Amino acid sequence: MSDLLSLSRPLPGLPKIGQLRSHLRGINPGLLVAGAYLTFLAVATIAPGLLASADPLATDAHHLFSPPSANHWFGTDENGRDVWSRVIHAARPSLLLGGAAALATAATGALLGLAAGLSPRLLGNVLMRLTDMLQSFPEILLVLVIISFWGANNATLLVALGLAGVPRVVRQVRAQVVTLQRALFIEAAITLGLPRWLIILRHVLPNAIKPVLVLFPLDIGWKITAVATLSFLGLGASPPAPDWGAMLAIDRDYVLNGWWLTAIAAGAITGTVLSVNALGRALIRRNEGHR
Amino acid sequence: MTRRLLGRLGAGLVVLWGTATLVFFVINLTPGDPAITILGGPDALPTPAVLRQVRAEYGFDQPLWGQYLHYLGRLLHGDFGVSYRLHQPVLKLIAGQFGATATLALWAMVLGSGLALLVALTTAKRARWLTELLTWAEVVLSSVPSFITGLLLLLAFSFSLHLFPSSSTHGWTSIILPTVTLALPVAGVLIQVLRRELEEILEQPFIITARTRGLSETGVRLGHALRHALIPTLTILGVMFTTLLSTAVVVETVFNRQGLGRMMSDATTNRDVPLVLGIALLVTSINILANIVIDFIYVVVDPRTERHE
Repeated sequence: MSDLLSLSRPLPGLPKIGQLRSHLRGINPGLLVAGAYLTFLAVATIAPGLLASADPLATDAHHLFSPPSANHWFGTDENGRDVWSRVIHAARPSLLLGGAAALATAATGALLGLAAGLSPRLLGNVLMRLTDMLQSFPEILLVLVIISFWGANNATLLVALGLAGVPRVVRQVRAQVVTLQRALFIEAAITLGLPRWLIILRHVLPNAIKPVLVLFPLDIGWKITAVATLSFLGLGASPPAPDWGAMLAIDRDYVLNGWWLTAIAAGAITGTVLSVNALGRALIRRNEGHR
Repeated sequence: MTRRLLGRLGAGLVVLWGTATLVFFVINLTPGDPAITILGGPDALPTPAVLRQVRAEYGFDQPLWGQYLHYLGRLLHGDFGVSYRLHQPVLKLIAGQFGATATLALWAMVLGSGLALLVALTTAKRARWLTELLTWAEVVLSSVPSFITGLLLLLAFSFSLHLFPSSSTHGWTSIILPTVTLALPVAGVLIQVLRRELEEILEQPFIITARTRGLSETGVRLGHALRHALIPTLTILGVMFTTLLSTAVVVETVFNRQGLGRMMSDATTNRDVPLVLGIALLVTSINILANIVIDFIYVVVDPRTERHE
């Protein structure tokens, strides 16, 4: 009897059901969907074979434009290739290029911003004027100019997309560095006799890159959009390699044969950007202190 | 005011000169023959005659500083070189396409800001569910890539309902879908900024004063709050215009329209370096000019900003 009574009490260490529920209620359901979608994409990026068994490049002349079915979940395209498999396999290049470019932007911008904030006035000013120049170039145009110089390949795309957005990061980091230099805790560190490099590494850098990190997910979203846009314009990965933007560009010509092809490719891109942006915005709002 | 204007124009010119210089050195310091770079990279295989023509035109036989002065002088005369695919002067090609894109961008700007004003004024500081809904609408509007919006509009209104032509540059019906495509992201950003401003302003004491004088809600919003909310919005408009011009690259391709953007993307595909650079330099100049103009409108709308300088 006493055993039964003790069981009805909550076990120590486990949260009560009510607590758990209120915890979950705090999370926006839209964000849960976004998170689930991104987790799915992460699996598709790491191990596309797990999600799609069909070869994304295998053509089948007998089954062109077949509608979605049990065999081909998303149907087949103009060459009889399995669309589900192509959509899954296209996740890796899009996400990797977008993510790498966003990382490149953040790293380059943070380094230059740190340099501009810490170096002597003249050098700092020169760096900022160079930043002005880069910023007066609209980003997409900058990317196109670089592609026209060195041709469309992954290395060029990485450099071009990485460079777009650098001025914003440089400005943010430099502004932070300039303010931080007058902060009391930095003064305290100097008084304590800490070497300059250690102060920069341990105290200035982590505080200066915070605004960059907050905007980082939104930048990934922008880069993924740019990657898709470029391949849509025919300036990205070359066919037959599966690529969302390129698929969309081709599907557009076959709208009357299979409207779902356009819808699927468009949905894959939009879903990705939307999820990344929704999570990025939630991060910004949380950082601003209201949910 | 005049001094400030001259100062800003000077700074703008310095930025342009720097950009042109940067471009020059990138072309010249790229490994390989610069003439080949201009003609479209190692796969171009130009005829010896064309190669000779380019070398003479850019003065590649002169020393580097001579080439540089020659290049700057040509830019000052409005000579941006010749497109090697289209065999016409770059400036003439740009002039031929500029009108179509500018018209499109202007209409999109009008539609986008009109929509934003309407939505922001009617929804700022209302019920909580409306705010939630709009927050999601803003995410969607600013997330969906323009080429996808365009394709979806084409699917719905051209292929299914047959209301508008799917590709054309002529007639007023052909400009509607591209305008909407361009205007939606503009509206998305503007709504965010305007609403945030309005919500802050509607809590200010002078709004309460206006309400105690018996002004209607509409009167308060239109007559008092709006004017103050417009000031920070102006800064965004400058960025907006260039964003529009660059988004035109995508939208003109989707809708198969003639224009600067389409020419830019075609030129990039063909690696027509002089044409790409010409368009990029032109849009950059417009960008710099637009920002100077907006700076001055700023002073006119809010005279306090000048006193602070």
